Amino acid sequence: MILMSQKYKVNFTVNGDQYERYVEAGETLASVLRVELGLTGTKVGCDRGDCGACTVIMNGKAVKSCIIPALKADGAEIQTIEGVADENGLHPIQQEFVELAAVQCGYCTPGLIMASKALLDENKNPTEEEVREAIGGNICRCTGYEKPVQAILKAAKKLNGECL
Amino acid sequence: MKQSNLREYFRPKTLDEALSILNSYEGEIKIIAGGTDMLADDHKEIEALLDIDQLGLNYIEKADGYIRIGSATTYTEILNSDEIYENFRAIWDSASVVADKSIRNIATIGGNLGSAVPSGDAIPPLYALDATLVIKTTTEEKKVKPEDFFTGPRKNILKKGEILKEIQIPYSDGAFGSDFEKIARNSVDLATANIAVFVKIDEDKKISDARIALGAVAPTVVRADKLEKAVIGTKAEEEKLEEIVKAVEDVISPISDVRSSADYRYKVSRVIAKRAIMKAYDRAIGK
Ligand SMILES: Cc1cc2nc3c(=O)[nH]c(=O)nc-3n(C[C@H](O)[C@H](O)[C@H](O)COP(=O)(O)OP(=O)(O)OC[C@H]3O[C@@H](n4cnc5c(N)ncnc54)[C@H](O)[C@@H]3O)c2cc1C
Repeated sequence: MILMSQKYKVNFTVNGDQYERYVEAGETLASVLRVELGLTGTKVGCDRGDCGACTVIMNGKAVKSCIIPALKADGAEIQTIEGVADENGLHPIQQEFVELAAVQCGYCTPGLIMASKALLDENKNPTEEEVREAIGGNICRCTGYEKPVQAILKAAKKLNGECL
Repeated sequence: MKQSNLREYFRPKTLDEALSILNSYEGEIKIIAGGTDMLADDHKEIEALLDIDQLGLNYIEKADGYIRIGSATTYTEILNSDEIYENFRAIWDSASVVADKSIRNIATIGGNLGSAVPSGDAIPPLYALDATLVIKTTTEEKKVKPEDFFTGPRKNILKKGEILKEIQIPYSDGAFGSDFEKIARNSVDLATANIAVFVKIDEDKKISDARIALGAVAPTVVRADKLEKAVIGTKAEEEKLEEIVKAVEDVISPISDVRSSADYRYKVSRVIAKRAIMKAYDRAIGK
């Protein structure tokens, strides 16, 4: 007989909303976001921390949610791709991804945008190298990295109020 | 990924509480810090996890003659430390090439020692910089050298009921420099080979002391003692080093695997040895 595992209470803020859920001890943050909260913008590719499709921002830092135990996120503040656009519309990073066609199949895009948003949140004026470093853990197999890098750099300029 | 047989998750607030949970839990219990190594696979044998991220073990503090790095300090925290950059550069350099930024934001230096993989990037710098590891049990605090801590691939001396608390590294006086080099297939890969070098120089700018440790080329990280002796008295001249670095071959015993052939590891170990000695030396003379 397989013992049903006990469920644990987890509280966290996702995109500004407070959530309380009961989860199994071994559940990952990615799965709670997707299955419990229905926030399926966060993708799961490799499910072992390699590909970066599941990247979210936790307490201000980019992390791979497929290797974060849900219970480690207790008390945390989380941002997912669903929370990036606001009432004024798309975030500059999203706008530039659209503008430059930095998207093909789109599977890696939410992760790329969360990793680069975490960068621009803490560094308004990154170098190209810093951008490449920030998305070093995000694997794209169709668009390539050139356009995403250009889109992120352009978004940074936009956020700095530079006319393009 | 999901830990399919996990039944309990503990996240205590104090080290004492953590130790008492470890000691009293009857089933298979494992510590996690960042969890980046643990959650990369489904560990079906594990019934409980003890998360140590709330114990206040993330700190970088100056003590009398040495620095204390808490075991749960993340690579990102290490990279933000000027103290580490200035005085323990090999550690800083290794932290800068572990995995990718989103892993470095959560993965810890203690987790790297806990995993004890032969390619662990945080490990060679600890040999080269003469670190001491502090292990906490309910009854005592034990101090061990890295040489006595690692016993084989993915093996170390930690027993149930023991937590790695911190790493202590002595400050050096005089002119010194250190470096870490890594060969990998791409930027987020584990090392094919890695190395850390520490050198001190005398008034004539000759190397007076050296500590050299190689990773991913033997069951555990190894000190290249012959090479350490051979560089003493030199000024890390490239031509001299070409010859001298052959001494690494005496201590390494690389295997062939998906990352590289043993033959390549032999060759590249010499190359990174030369590179790291020259860089550490340049830093020592202030170049
Ligand atoms: C995509 C990816 C890329 C990676 N790239 C690299 C790389 O380039 N170089 C590299 O070296 N590693 C790499 N790793 C492996 C891993 O990220 C590192 O080893 C990291 O330092 C582990 O730290 P952690 O805190 O996440 O460990 P955890 O997963 O939390 O723990 C690892 C092990 O250590 C034990 N442990 C942790 N803390 C303690 C403690 N204080 N006392 C006792 N035991 C403890 C745990 O029980 C477990 O057995 C990579 C991992 C991923 C997923």
